[in-house]
Amino acid sequence: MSTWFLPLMILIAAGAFAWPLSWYMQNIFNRNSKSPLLRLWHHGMELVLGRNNAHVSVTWAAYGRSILMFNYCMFVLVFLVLSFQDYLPINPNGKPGLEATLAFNTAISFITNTNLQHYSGEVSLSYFSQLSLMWLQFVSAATGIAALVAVARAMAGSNSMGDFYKDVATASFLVLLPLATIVALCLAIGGVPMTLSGAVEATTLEGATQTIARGPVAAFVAIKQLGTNGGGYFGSNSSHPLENPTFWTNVISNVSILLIPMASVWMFGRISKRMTHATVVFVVMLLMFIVLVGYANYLEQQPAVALNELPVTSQSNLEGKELRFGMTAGPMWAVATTATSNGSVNAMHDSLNPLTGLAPMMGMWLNVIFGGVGVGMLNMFLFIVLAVFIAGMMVGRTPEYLARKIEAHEMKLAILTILTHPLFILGGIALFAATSWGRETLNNPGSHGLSEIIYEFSSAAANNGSGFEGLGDNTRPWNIATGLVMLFARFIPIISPLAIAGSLSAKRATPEGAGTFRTDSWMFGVILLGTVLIVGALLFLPLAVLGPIAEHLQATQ
Amino acid sequence: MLTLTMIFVATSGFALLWALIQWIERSRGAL
Repeated sequence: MSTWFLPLMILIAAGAFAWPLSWYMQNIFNRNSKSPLLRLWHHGMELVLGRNNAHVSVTWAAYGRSILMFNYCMFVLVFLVLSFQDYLPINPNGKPGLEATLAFNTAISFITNTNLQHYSGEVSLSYFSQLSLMWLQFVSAATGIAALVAVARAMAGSNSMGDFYKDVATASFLVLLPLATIVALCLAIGGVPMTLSGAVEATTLEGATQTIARGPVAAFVAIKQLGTNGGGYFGSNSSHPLENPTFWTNVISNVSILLIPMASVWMFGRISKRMTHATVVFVVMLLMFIVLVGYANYLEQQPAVALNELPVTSQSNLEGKELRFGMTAGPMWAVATTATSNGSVNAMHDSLNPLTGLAPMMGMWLNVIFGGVGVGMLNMFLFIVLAVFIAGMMVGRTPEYLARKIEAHEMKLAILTILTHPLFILGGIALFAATSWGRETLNNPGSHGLSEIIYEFSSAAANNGSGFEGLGDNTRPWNIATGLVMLFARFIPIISPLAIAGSLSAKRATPEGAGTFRTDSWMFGVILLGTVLIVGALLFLPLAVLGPIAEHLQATQ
Repeated sequence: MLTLTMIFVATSGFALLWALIQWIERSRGAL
């Protein structure tokens, strides 16, 4: 099988399913939909939520506060569940409560759609805790979708951002739940366990006794992939044979990772009634994605340098790969999972060739290559505002985006938010590389050790959740620092686009004329791509040089 | 004790984000 067949198949399948899904998503968020069932759903939800007047205008700030209040309540609830799981039901293996900083990190990690895991699920968590985390995988993904829908509504000219609680329920029950049910069924057919019974004891061929953990894995894995959550039921995530047993479960999982992030871009275009603009943005994202997949796939075809002096012949880097999926599944997944802020892994990222390891880091540093469910497009929205501003300055006109003038207020918000991403990553790395908090937790010296710290903070700040591993990250400093980074890195890039969209929608629409810089042109696509690469990537070039590139040069000397 | 401390840390984080919304709302002219 050609090395490019698998990536191509996954990409085409995800794109093909994303298109109709975006149409469906646009329809379900429309309370005036032509479908009587959808109108019934909206009216029913308004009744349940006690909305007497659904036409009341909701400001961006009110929408943002609802997001914060909802997520804070979810945090408290799940933090208590994790801390006191030994007093709660469905704990057949008698797991004790989590240590406080680990419970803090885990609860923040799951409400922020990150799923950074400083624990091993099958060892540390009861079934009740796993199910609580699965609940967060639904609502955190739904929060991202809801925020994007609100921004799209404002950009379409609506004077109300909508009702967050209704949006989050709609996203959970009408998008994520049906899709997760279908994917979970496919995975269960493929051999992934789905049971509430405890672990089983097996006798190996040598006569030893082995405990095999199991549980409601298929349901957990389905939403972890679809919601770009990434948190594995098992510690080794999708490389575990019960979480991802076959080539086909791997394909289904990988398509699920890309599906909603891709559909989110089209959905934004459909709701804001700017499909050509959304197409340009989609193509820019796709181009970056294809380049990263090609780069990672090509470099991983080179044998590991460490094998050069051993009497071993290898055509490619097989270390850390699950060969039941095939050679290219590892780099393809590594790029997809980091580009989309998913964070699940089917191969050991720590074992990628040094330069290949740069590809997942790039995905997290840019954080706009489809990105997380809903929030990927919100991150790109900030870069669009910046690109429009730069283009406007070049042609000497007041920049306009979707017929609204972009002025100092929106620009300052966009640029300050874009700068928080490198601030969280670079600041965290500097602190942990300089102190014993980071240095004493490393298992590798030199550039590779630095790459482990770089990866951990990049993963937390991009709300990704994957780990380079090789890092002893379940310590109080790591738990608290990455917990806070995840919290701020999640909600600041949600609040800011809401504020920008709210501000733009309050302005009078400016008719587009001959001199208007069009955001549905390919020239805009080139400027957007340049803005993302120059502003997004160059900030992280020193990290790339000190980590993966230095390691590569040392290894090949 | 540590459990309460971690709840306090998270509450402070959310309070800061809440304050950020307030600040953006009020500094419309200044920002």
